[in-house]
Order: sequence, then C-alpha cells, then structure tokens
Amino acid sequence: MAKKLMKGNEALAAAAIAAGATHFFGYPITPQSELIEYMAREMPKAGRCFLQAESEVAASYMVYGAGGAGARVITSTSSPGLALKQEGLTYMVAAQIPAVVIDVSRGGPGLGNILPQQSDYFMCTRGGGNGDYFHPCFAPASVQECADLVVEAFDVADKYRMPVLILADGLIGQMMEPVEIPEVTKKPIDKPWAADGGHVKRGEHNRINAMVLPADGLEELNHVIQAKLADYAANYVRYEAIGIEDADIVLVAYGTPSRACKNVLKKAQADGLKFGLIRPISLYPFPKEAFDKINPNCKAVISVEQSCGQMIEDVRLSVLGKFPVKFFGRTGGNPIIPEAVYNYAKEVLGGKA
Amino acid sequence: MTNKLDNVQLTIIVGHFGSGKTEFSVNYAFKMQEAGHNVALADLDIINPYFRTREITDDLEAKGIRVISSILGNKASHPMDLPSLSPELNLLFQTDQYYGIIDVGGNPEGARALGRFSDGIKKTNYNMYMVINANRPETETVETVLAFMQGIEEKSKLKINGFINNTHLVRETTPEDILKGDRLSRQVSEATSIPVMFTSYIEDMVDMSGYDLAGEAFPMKMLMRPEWL
Repeated sequence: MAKKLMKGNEALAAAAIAAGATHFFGYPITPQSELIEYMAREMPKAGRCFLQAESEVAASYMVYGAGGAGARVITSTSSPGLALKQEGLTYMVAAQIPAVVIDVSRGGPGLGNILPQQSDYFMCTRGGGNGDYFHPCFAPASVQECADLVVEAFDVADKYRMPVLILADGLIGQMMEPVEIPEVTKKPIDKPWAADGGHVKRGEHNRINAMVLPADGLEELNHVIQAKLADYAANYVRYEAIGIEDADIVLVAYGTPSRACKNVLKKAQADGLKFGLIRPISLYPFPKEAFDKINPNCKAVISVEQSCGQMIEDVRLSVLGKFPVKFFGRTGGNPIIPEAVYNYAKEVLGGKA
Repeated sequence: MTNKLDNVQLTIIVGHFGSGKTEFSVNYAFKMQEAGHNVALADLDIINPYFRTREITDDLEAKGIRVISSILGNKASHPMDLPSLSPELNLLFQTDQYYGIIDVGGNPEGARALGRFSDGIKKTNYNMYMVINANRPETETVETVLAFMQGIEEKSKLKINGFINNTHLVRETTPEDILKGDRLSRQVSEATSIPVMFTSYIEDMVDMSGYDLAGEAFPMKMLMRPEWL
C-alpha cells in the first residue's frame, strides 16, 4: 500500500480499524479529537460500532462491557479524560478485560491547556486507579509508529487480558507524516472466557466481575495479575538506542522530545562530542537493560521530558547510581528545542550543571 | 465614507488539514509583501489546535505583515481551540487597506467560521482557492475532492474559483508526488471548469524545473515545521 499523509490521531484510528477493532467508545477532547472524528466516520462504513459516550467515565464502562463480551474494543482521550477513565481501567484490570486505551496527552494539571505535554507518564505506566497493577504502555515517536503500535497493542491486550495504554503526546497526535497503515491478516485469538453466551454449556457461566470478596480469592487474583505483568514485562521491552556504548552524555527521551534529542546528537557529532540516546518505546516495562550498555565512563545521563520530571524516576532505577542523573524539561506546553537541550548537556559535560 | 469594494484584494485559502494550506498561506503572504503589498494574514482556523499561522506571528510581524486571529491573542503561547474570531477580520473586506489572505480551518466545519462573514466578502472581488493534496486520504480522487469542495462551499456560502496543487509527503516528497497531484488537479479542473492557479512545493526538497505543471509554479520555504520535527 502506498504511503499516505496522515495526522498521528488519524493513523491511530485507521490502524485500529485495520487491526479489526469492532467497537469504539469515547468522548471528544483536544488534541485527540481527529481520532474520534475518524472513528465516527469510518467505523460505521466498516460495519463496526462507533458510539460517543456521554462522558469519559461512561465510555470506559462501555469498553468494560463490550470487552467483557469478547469485542475488540478501543477508547481514546486526552489527559484529563484519562484521569476520568481510571476507575473503569482498574475495574478492567480486576475483571481481566482486554482493551486498547489511547492517551494523546496535553498540558496539566487540571484542565490545563491543549498544548502537548508528557505529564501523564505516572498515570499511564503505574496505573492511575486503585489496586496493585501497572499498565503495559507504548509511546510512539512518529506517525508510522502510532499505526504499528496500535496493531501490536490489540494483540498484547488479548494475550494478557489487560487494558494496554498508548501514550502519544499531543504533537505526535497532531503532526502530519507519511504513513503506511499495516495490513493485518492475523486473526484475533479465541476468547473462551468471554461472557458472550457462546463458550459455555447450558447451566455454566462465564463471569466478568471486578469484585472478589474472599481474602484468598482476591489474593489469588492479584497473583494472577502480577504473573501476567511479569510475563509481559519479560517479553515486551522495546527501545531504540543510539551511540550509547561510547557516549560521554546519554539522553533519555520518548515521544516528541526524542526527535529533538536526535537533532541534538547530530549537533554534538558535528562538534566532536560523544552523545548517545535511549528512546524507550515501551514505558512499562521500562527498558532497564539498555542502561547496562552505556559507556562505563559516561559523565551523566539526562532525562529529557516535556514535564517536570516523571520518567526520571525509572531512569534513576535503571542507572542504579552508576552515573549522575540530570533532568531537562519544559512544561506548560512549551516545546523542547534542540538548542536548549544541547546547551544544557554541554553545561553538564563541563561540570557546570 | 465610501466603500471601494472593487479595490479590495482578498484571497481565501481553504483545504483539508494536512493539505498544506497554512504553509501556502504564509509563503503567499511573504511573497505578496515582497511584491509591495500591505499584507494582512488572518488565521481563521478553528479546527487545528497546532501548526497554525499564529505560531509564527513574530516572523510575520517582523516583515510588516499584520496577523489577525483570535480576540484572545495571536501568539502560540495562548493556544485556543475556541471560535473566538477577531472583529479585525472585517478590515479585510470592508476596507481596501490590506492585501488580505485568509487561512481557513481544515474541513467544512472550519469553513463555517467563514460563512459568518460571507455577506461582506461577497461584496468584494474575492478569490477562494482550494488546496489539493493527493496524498491525503480525504482528497485523493476527483470524487472526494468534489465532495469536499461542495462541503466547503455550502458551509462558507462562498464559491471556490481556483485550485492549488500542493501534493506532498512532508520530507519524503518526490517529483512523482507533485505530478500525481498535477494529474488529479487537472482532472478536477476539467470537471469543474475552475482553473488550477498554482502548483506549490518546498523548493529545498524537490526540483520541479523542466516539468509542465498546471498553473503558476510556486516554490515555497518550509516555515510551519521546525527542522527537528
């Protein structure tokens, strides 16, 4: 298929349809509205269900219901909307319901603004609801990666029966790039657990339930969830590493800031400086193994985020004190400009920051 | 006071988001300013939250181009997706003070914002050009371009009288993309009897010299997208 020009939001939607999404539930919010608009237009044409819910909370329970009945289901929102969906998400974790949840993140806290920001890292990776769980979470840095990761997210969700998050900052959602929407031929796996009336004999029941009253029963469920997360974390580490083996400075960035950092690497190379980059593609599991490959004489690792610093906690846990960990960030929706990162990194290298 | 409406110079740019409408509008504004016009560029986009004319307001104003957008501010640091249009827009069609360029939001709903001003605009000899990008899924065939055009005309209550072929794939654009758009634009032009006014492209990216292109060749600089993005 020839490449087309699409916004990240459109590519996320088109790839979800290509991946066989049967149901979309959502509520519009900038900067992800093109996604829901695309779904409103294209899902009915494909004979699938599009429904605009009355709120984000309602949408998340529609996802719970449809997912529990075995549908390939997706919802999308932006930061404050994801905060509202958290109750539904923790219920889905408990009820072991697969779903793809997209966050095209914007400025916060609160209603914040409509500009791109990466302050949803904790909410997307840790799980913003109650209970013990993390969210499988992918972070695309291009429109093509948006499309590819959505397809993968559906399979991961089905395999582990969990909601899988895609965290794309607002700029990734809004920017235009050439993209090839993948052709998906693989059939979704069977869901014998689904409450669809078709998998059980008369008198038997498949139950979808987020409440377990006996202590031993709930402990057992928690062990099941933890085992699934451990297996997932062992198999889905994704990252891109550039020049870290002999770097004096290693930058760590995901999403849009990683694009600025790639430009920083070019500037450094032109000036004869050795900079490297780790770009996590999976935010949970965080690619800790990449940090083992860093030059032992590296001067510092810098977490570059469009936030006040959230991923830096995972960076510290991965560096484990081997190198100084520094932070460069902008917030409020202000962009991370390569020049600013480069100047800061040079100060760090010179021992001035 | 007399209204010299016949002397009003007004060009309205419409097209799907991603067509390159804002890139064209901004480049066109600089070109008209260089040609000696007193240019005002209005950002009427209530559809796209990012990549908007107002993001390069400082560059435009440094060249003496007046930027008109939201009553809530013209700068990128005051982002709004509210239809809070400035009454200064009326300057573009109620006076002949400016060579006016209006950059309209990326779909028929965006063109609705223009509809509110249609009575005033109709009293002028305005041009409304539609930007075509054959690589956008919504405008890749004659049928979809015509349907999109009809939607824009209905909502704006104004008539398109020219096309701009601005077919591109951002940094992966090749001459073949522009020629694909050239074929589509010519077909649309034939179907509507409306001329192709310009073929626009980023001059640093493709060399289109020696090609027979519909309308006037309009080489542009990439102004709306930073080098690193």
